[in-house]
Amino acid sequence: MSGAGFDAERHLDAMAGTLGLTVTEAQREGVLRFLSMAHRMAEILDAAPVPADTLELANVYHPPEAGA
Amino acid sequence: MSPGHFADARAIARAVRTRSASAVEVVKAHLDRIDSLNPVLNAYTDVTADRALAQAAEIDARVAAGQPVGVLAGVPFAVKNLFDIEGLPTRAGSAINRERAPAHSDGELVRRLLAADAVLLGGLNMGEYAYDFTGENVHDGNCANPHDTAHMAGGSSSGSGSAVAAGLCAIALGSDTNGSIRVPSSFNGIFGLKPTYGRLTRHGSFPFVDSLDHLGPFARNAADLALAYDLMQGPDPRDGGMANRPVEAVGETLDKGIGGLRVAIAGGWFDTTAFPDAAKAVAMAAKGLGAAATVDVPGAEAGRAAAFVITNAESARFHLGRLKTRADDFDPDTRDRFLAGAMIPAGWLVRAQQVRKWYLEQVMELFRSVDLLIAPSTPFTAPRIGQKTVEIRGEDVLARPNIGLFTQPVSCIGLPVAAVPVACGTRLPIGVQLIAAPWREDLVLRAARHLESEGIAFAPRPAI
Repeated sequence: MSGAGFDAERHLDAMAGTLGLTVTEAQREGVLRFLSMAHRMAEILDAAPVPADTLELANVYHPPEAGA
Repeated sequence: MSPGHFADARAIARAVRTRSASAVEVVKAHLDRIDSLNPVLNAYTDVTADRALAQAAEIDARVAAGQPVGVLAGVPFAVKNLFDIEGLPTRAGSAINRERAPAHSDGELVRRLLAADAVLLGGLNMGEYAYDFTGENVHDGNCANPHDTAHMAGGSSSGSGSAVAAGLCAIALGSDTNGSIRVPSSFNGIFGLKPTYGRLTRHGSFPFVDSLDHLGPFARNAADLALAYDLMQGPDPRDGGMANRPVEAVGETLDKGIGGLRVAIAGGWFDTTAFPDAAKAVAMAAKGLGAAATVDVPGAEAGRAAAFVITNAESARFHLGRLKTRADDFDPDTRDRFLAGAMIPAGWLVRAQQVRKWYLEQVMELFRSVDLLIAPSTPFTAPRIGQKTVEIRGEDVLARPNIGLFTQPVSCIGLPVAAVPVACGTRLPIGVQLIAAPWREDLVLRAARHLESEGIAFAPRPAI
């Protein structure tokens, strides 16, 4: 689930540290805006009526033919 | 005598083959026009004049000796600067990539056009790392729309759209991950083809989003578009996303018309009620194609969201090392999007790929009763350069992520699309998407050709 209580500021601070990213003050406002936009997209994805208890992903792996 | 800057590719090649013009004359005329207009349009970032003149002279020598030449003999083309061009660093619109070693060979699609004796004139401007719909670039300068240079060329294949529309080349290549062929086609009033995902090899191009990247051609008419597309088809095991299908040429069926095709207008997410210029374009195209019914495209909004999240996450991970060490060397307009994308939770990305699969199934069901869908390419004509926000259905939103709201749901599931300019009385150009089921590029190009023959689809000549 995308998380109804998503807090972009807290998420940014936690993830920047985890990833070793430095987000400067000049960058922060823009990053927060795009994180919030991504969260709205995640909410739309959550709401899509995909059948429950299925897990079919678009990016499946296709093994090559033998000898390829 | 050179056939002129707006001659179609087939006429240029015919003139060169029959010696009514030399390839050198054609190339020189285009290089002169680039010298004259590029300071205003900023469509080219690299002009490979010496190479082009040498290639043209070699073609002329073959013609003079009675030896065979290719079907694009002497036709000037250029490529978005994310395609490898031998001897140049593949900059992909960035400052950072200029530090890369020069490409040791041309990208595969470039090679395939060169093999038909098209002449490469250079590399074209683009939004940084293809994360763009505007044509603005802080490193190379903004690319301008030749129909009004105060307005955007659209992106991210900005130079491709601007150069073809302005007669700076007859054919261009670009890439389209979320709309980067279709948006510039609409804003500049030209034809573009985003083929089915996996149809054309991406080998020798700088990636953006492996799950969604497509390459394709631009031209000023449907026949040139089809010709270039046919020449670039064919397997390439070096691109893991390739379906490796055999060549399925569309040239021979291009004039088959639209008889028997079930054509519908895409509604729902694609509704144009709030966008009067887009509504005019769709209505004209629908009339020309005999489409009366409007059908909902189930899941389109979710498909758009899936494309957004997949793009953000994949591209940011690809650039993570650069973001860690030199974020301020990015264009600020892409940097903050990439930084945000690096922080997307894995679960959002997994859900996006799940929804993408589900959405494809919904659309494939729709294609049981419809052969072709008409949707707007852009909500409006080109905004002014520097405009940061646009109004979408009563809400002011950022321009850069939202200009492609009608293109993103289509590329999300890799459907083939002809982007077609529609003569519908707007001051600046605007176009529609003609969309078919996977692997049916023949249908979208036939429909484009039909609209052209009816005088509805037309690449207007800019006054510049």
